[in-house]
Formats: sequence, C-alpha cells, structure tokens
Amino acid sequence: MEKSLIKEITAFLSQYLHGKEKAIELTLITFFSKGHLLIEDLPGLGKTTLAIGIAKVLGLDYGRVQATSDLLPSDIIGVSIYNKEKNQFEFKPGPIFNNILLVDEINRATPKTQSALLEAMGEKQVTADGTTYKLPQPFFVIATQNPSEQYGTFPLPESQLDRFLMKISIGYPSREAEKEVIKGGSKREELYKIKPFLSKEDILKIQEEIKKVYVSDKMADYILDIVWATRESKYLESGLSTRGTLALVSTAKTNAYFEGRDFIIPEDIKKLYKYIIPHRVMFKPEFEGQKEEIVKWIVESIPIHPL
Amino acid sequence: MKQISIANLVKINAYVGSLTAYGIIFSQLSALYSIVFSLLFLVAFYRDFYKHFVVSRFILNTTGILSALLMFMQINTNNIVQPAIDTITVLLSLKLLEEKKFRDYMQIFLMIALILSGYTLLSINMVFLGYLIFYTFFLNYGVILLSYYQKDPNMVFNITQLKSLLIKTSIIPLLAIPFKIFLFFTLPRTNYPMLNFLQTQGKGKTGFSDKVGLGEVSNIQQDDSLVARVVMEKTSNELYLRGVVFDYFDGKSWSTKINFFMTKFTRFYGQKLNYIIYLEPTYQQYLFTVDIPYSISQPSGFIIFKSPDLVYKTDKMITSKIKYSGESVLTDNYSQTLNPSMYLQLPDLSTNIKVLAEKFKKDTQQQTAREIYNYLQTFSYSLKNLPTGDSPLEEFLFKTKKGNCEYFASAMAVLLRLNGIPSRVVGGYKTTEYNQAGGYYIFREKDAHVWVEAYIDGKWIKYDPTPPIRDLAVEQLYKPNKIKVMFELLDYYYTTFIVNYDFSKQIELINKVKSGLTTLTAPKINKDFNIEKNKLLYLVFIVLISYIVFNLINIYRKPYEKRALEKFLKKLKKYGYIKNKNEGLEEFVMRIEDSQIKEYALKFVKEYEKFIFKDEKITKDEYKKLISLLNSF
Repeated sequence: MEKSLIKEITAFLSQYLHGKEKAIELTLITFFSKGHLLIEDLPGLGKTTLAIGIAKVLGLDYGRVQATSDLLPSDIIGVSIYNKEKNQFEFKPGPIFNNILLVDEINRATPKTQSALLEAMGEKQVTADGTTYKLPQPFFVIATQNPSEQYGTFPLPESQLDRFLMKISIGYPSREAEKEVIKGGSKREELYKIKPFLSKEDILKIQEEIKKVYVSDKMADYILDIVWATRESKYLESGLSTRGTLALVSTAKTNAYFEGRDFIIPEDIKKLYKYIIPHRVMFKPEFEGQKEEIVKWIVESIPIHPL
Repeated sequence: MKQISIANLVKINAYVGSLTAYGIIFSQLSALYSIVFSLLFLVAFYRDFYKHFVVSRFILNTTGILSALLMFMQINTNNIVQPAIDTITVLLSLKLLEEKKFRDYMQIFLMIALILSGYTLLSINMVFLGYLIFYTFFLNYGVILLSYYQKDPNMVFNITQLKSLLIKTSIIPLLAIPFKIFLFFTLPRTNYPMLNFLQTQGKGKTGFSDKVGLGEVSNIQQDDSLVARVVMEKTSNELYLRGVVFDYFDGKSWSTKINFFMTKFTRFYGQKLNYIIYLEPTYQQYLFTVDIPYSISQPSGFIIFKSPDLVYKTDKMITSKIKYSGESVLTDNYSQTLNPSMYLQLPDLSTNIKVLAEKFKKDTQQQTAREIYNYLQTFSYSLKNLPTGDSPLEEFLFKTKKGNCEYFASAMAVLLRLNGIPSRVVGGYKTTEYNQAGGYYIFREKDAHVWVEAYIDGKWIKYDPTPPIRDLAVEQLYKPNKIKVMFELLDYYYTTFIVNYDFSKQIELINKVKSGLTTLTAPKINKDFNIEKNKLLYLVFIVLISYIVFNLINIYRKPYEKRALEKFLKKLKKYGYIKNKNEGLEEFVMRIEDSQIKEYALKFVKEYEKFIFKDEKITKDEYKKLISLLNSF
C-alpha cells in the first residue's frame, strides 16, 4: 500500500516536473524521515516547482524566503508589532510558520540569519521576545544553494550542513523530459490546483509508523561498519557524527517503509548514502575533488554478511 | 604498515639459520672452532646490521682453503666426522662475513643442512627430529624467499604479505609429509649399519666400566644420560642389571681374571620373567641382563658369549642402539657347582683389616656374612670426599666410614674372603625408576652400581651392602618430574620405532601388507580370518562412519538461516552468479540477467530477508518452504 503511495505521488508529480522522479522520491523520503533537504543546484532547474509540488500534493502550507545579504532573522521567524487597540505587542509569525518552507539561495543570507534558521530547524520551535512558539507539525525546510556563485555568499559551514538530512542536486533534465517541457510549457500554475493526496493526520501517522521499522542486529552492525570506516578513513579529516549515523538509519527506515517492508536491508543504505554522507564528513584538502568517489569506495568496501 | 625489505629478510634468515646450526652442533664442536665461529659470527652480524665494511674476498677464500687443508691433516679413519663438522662450521662463519649474493645464501643453507646431517653421525638423539622439522620448514621458506630476492632485490614486504608467504610456504613441506612417511617405510635399508664406524668417537662415558678402581677420584659427578630401558612388569623391589663380574682384587682395584670353564651346572629357583632391553650405545662389549639371567636372545648383527659367572659379552663393540630380549629369575641366590678357591684371592692387606675381619667370625658362613653386612650398614653413603691414597679401603673402613657403592662392595668382598668365604663383586646398574606409561625401567649412568655375591653352601647369594642414600642433594637428583617423564617416554618411542626400524622390519611389514591384502581380496573370509584383521576392519569402518557422521553433523549443526543461504548461493553459482562480498542480497539478485531466474531469486531473497533482517530464527517448516522456493527455479 505504502509502496504504491510513494510511486503514485512520484508518478503524479512527474507530470508537472518532467524527469525529476529521483529528486521527488528523495524529497519525500527526507520529508517522511522528519529531516530537511538541501538542494545544491544551478538556478532554473525546477527547485521551486518541486517544493510547491510537494507542498500541494501533501496538502500542506507553503512559505518561501528568498535569502539575501540583508535578510534578517526576524524576516524568517516573525516580528512583534505594537497593537494600539489592545495596547500590547502582537507577534506576527514569519514564513517559518508554514509546514513547508523553501529557503532559496541560503548561502546568500548572513551567518546570523543562517544560524537562526538552522536553530529553528533543529529545535522545531522559535523564541521571539521571550516567548517560545512551537513550529507547525509536520515541518520541512527545503533550502537551495547555488554552487557556482562565490562572490558575496556565505557558504554553510560543515557543522551546519549536518543539519540537513540530505543534500541532493536535481541536475539537468533528460532530453526527452525537456522536450516535454518545451511542448507543454511551464505547469507552475496547474500545480497550485493539485488536490492533496494525504491529510496532515495521515502524514503524522505515516511518520510514526516509519519510526517502528525494525533495525536488526546485523543492520546496526553494517551501519556501524560504514560509520567507522569513514571515521578511520585515510582520505577524511573527520568521519560521520552520531547525528549522521541516525540520518542513515532514519532514511533507510523511510525507504524500507515505502518499499513495503517493516525492516531495513543493506540496499536501503546503499540507495541513499550518497545523499547523506558526503556533506557530513570533512575531506583532506587533497581529496576535495573526489568526494563522491571516495565515499562510494568507502561504503562499497564494507562486506555484507547476510548472516 | 611496517615494511620489511627482502634484502633484510634474507639476511635475517641466514643469521637465524646459522645460529641454530651452531646451537645444534655446539656440544660436539671443538672448543677452538667454537670460539672462532662465535667471533666471526659476531663480526659478520655487526657488519651486516650496524656498520658496513668490506672484507676482501681474497682473505676470506684463503682462510677457507687453509682451514680445509687443516681438516685434511686432522682426518684419519678413526676421526672423520669431527674435523669435517668443525671446518664446515668455520666456513659457515666465513661465508657470513662475505658480501652475500644469491649463490652465497644458497651455500649458507647448504652448509646448514650439512651440519644437521653431520650431527646425526655424532649422536642419534630425539632432538634431531625437532631440528629436522624446524629446518624442513625454515630452509624451504628461506629458499623461496631467496628466489624472490633474486628476481628483485629491492622488493618490499609488509607484515600481512610476509605472514601469507610464511603460511603458503609452510604448506609445501606439510604436503611432502605423507610422501616422506612413505619413503621412510619403503626406502631399502641395509642389513648392516653403514655409517656406524663414524660414530665411535667422543664417547668416553662415566658410570659403568669394566674395572672398579678405588681411590682414583674423590668426587663423582652424576651423569643423567640414559643407558638402557628394560621393558617388563613392575616388580616390588629394586631392579638390578647385571653387567660384569670382578673376581681379582689388587688392593686398589677390581678386575676380571677367571675365564675358564670350571662350572659343572647352574640351577635357578624362583619366578621366571621375560623382558626386552633397549640398550644405548655403550662402546663396550657387555650386554646387560636383569639379575639373575637365564638366557638372552641374540641382538641382530652380534654374536654373544656367555661366561660361567653369568656375564654376556658380544663379539664387537656396541656402537648403536640395540635391542634384545631375555629371560631371568628374580632371586637372591642360585646354585652352582664349582671349585670356589679362585674367589678367595687376596692381595697383601694390613693387619688392621685382618683383625677387623676376625671379629665377624660366627658359627656359620651365612651368619658371618650377615654380620659383615650389618656392620657396613652403620657406614654412610656419599659421593663426595671419597677415601683416596695408597690404601683407600683401609681409610674407608677406619677413618672416613663414608663412600660410594664401590667401597661398600669391595669392603664386604674382602672381609668375606678374609673369613674364608668365596666372594666376588658384580658391576651393573640398579634402579627403581619405572615409566608407568611405557611399562619399562630406566637405567641411567648415575644408576651404576656394584654389589657382592658370596658363595655359601653351593649357592651364590647376593648381598648389597651399600646403605640407602641419605644425601638430600643426591636424592633430589633421583626425583623425576612430569615433563621429564613425558620426554623420556617420547624418546623411548622414538628409539623403539625410528631407530629400530631396519631391513628385517621392512620385510616384515611388506609381508604383513601382502598377507593382509590376500586375505582381504580372498572371496571367503571366515575362519582363518583372525581377530587382528577383524579389528582392523572394524577400525576402518569406524573411521569411515565417524567421518560421515562428522560431516553430517557439520551440515546439520548449522542454523537453518545459514543452510538456506548457502543453498541459495550455491544454486546461483551454478548459473554463474557469484555474490560479491560487499553486495546485499537484493543488489546481487538485481544483477542477474536472466529475467526468470531473477524473478525466482528475488522471491526467495524477499522471503529470506523477512527472517534475517528482523532477527528471527527460521523454523524447520519455514526452512522447507524456502527450500521449495529454491527448488522451483
């Protein structure tokens, strides 16, 4: 049932987002794993469309922040305004109080704003003028950054990249997919009319069920083998943190759930590790250029003993 | 990881091998050569591992030639091995000093092998077997390493590679073992030990001798080396091994003079007893027998002579381990009709002794002998500060009152003769050391012993006047420990099996195999099929059954999960798909090109994963289901 659900959503959204099946799937997995997503890509490849599509198909609120160097934390979180009639300050919630928040070009925001956002992502609550406000449930941030622009940007430090469950890039669509786009034109408008597949309650229920997916002894060992291989690798300055380990587990669980299993298998890890590990580990300077290959080499050299 | 260059490894090998060879030969090497070797070895070691310097090949070669010449000057027919071994050892150290190339290393190995084989000519000891095994592995490994070295002297190994090389090279000699055993049994042996003449030197043993001299040494060293093993049942008393009988005393030493046949007849009473003796090379002609001997078998290659005083001698020196069996009577006395006057011979003795002898005179000769015996029991046993001088016997009797068995026996025999009782001194061994596991008595050089026989009323009666040892230090030497006993037993089996395996045994074995084969192939196997062969058949059967059972248990002991997986992987292997180590099962199955097999395999894997990735045990029924899934494709 669950398997068909994610397939269904993916298939449905593909009508609007040609050739982005992989990205849609990974985004959904991140979402259901209660994580946040970082998309590193050139502009104009459909990041925003993806965010809107996901929000609509899941029937959730959607907010968007375009990060610039003069963006202030209050622009995201919200601000208290004096109400003359009531004679008191009133909190005007910012875009962060949406279920899905798209932060465009996060590396353009100042570190101060970045960290305010990341803190909110981690804590799932914000504090303004001494009052703590819970963020809505579910809460999902899709941040994007443009890898080619360096001037006037504040790249996220590794310690903060860690807060994103996955880091993906959409890449150019295939020739056929782009042909469809040419013929059909942008379908952004139609996206807004999508009827949701799931209710909020359904989503929270699924997220709870994913938590129950079983992690066997062997799989725990296998994951730890990978984690320790990154920690002991000669190509890396530092390996996966415990948060990274948990990221591997939670995404594997979600993937297993959508594959119709109530237990995880090595393939779950193998499918997703390349979106989870590279941005969490520090490479030695001389190996910066081959991040993907090194991570792949590390993981693929871990033997799997089904027994 | 630590890297070791092959050049260093080869060097280390040469030194380890040489040092071990030196260890083997050390006890046999002449002192001068031993010193020369150690010095050159140390210099070479310093040169190779600390500070390199060049020694001119000319000097080394000249020294080598000179030492070889020296060897040829020393060699004669009686002394071949010793100079050869000495020279090879020195040549080895010279070689180490050289600038070593491939061939030099090979020469070093060759010299080591020569030293090892030379050692067998000097001593047949079980230790040799240990060295042989060590060198079989070591030289094999060394030569293989050398062949690498010759290909590329700059090659570098890390620890893991070295380990795997060691293991792999060890397999070669291991594989050769069955072949070696085959050769051991089948290589033709000569009936006559060919190289025995080489073994006669350097073997002046202490302990038993064919002469008993008093007062020659004041301290006696305890020699632990083995003389004989006597396979027989354990008796309650000490066991005496009769060697030689002395009848002539010149005041200081005893010797054998009488050797004519004047005995009429000899009669034994008592419990008869059969035994087998394994005698170490004694370099003498006496064949030892359990006291009192009735008859013995002829050891192969020897002619034996029996003298009337029940002493057995061979026609030539015993230079190798030999085996013979015997029949004896365990008794203190036996009848013999003879003219005993010869056993009353005495040298000139001081009046002191004569006066002392007078005191023991009693009504019967038996009582007199008992009296003398009792008197000597008041003396004490000692191996230190023995009486010496011109009349050691007198000193023993009146001054020190301490001595070893030779003094006690001599004193008693002399006192008996002074009282007109014919007597003689018997030399041999005495022990209580019994190896329970092997079922044999052990006689060592330190067990050498002499006692007295007195001729009273037509009977030779045994008296052992030596009192029991009261010396703690000496007693300590007699205490065996467990490890010693075990090694002793191992050595016994080595002797009985390896050393005694000769041509006749070989023929015997061939005949046994032949007869075994004919009975096995014969169509009717019934009455004349004796128990031994039945037992053998049972044994073969049992081994076969246990092999099968063991294998079955091995399969069935495995949990179902493992069995199912192994079957699955085996099946796919048949189709040409082998799972990589780093592959998950699904990943592996996805690789399959044949869509039908893929479908079935995926079905199996999906089912299988439900158990193992949920940490659930597969029950027998579930296992059967899985297997039927497997069998469906």
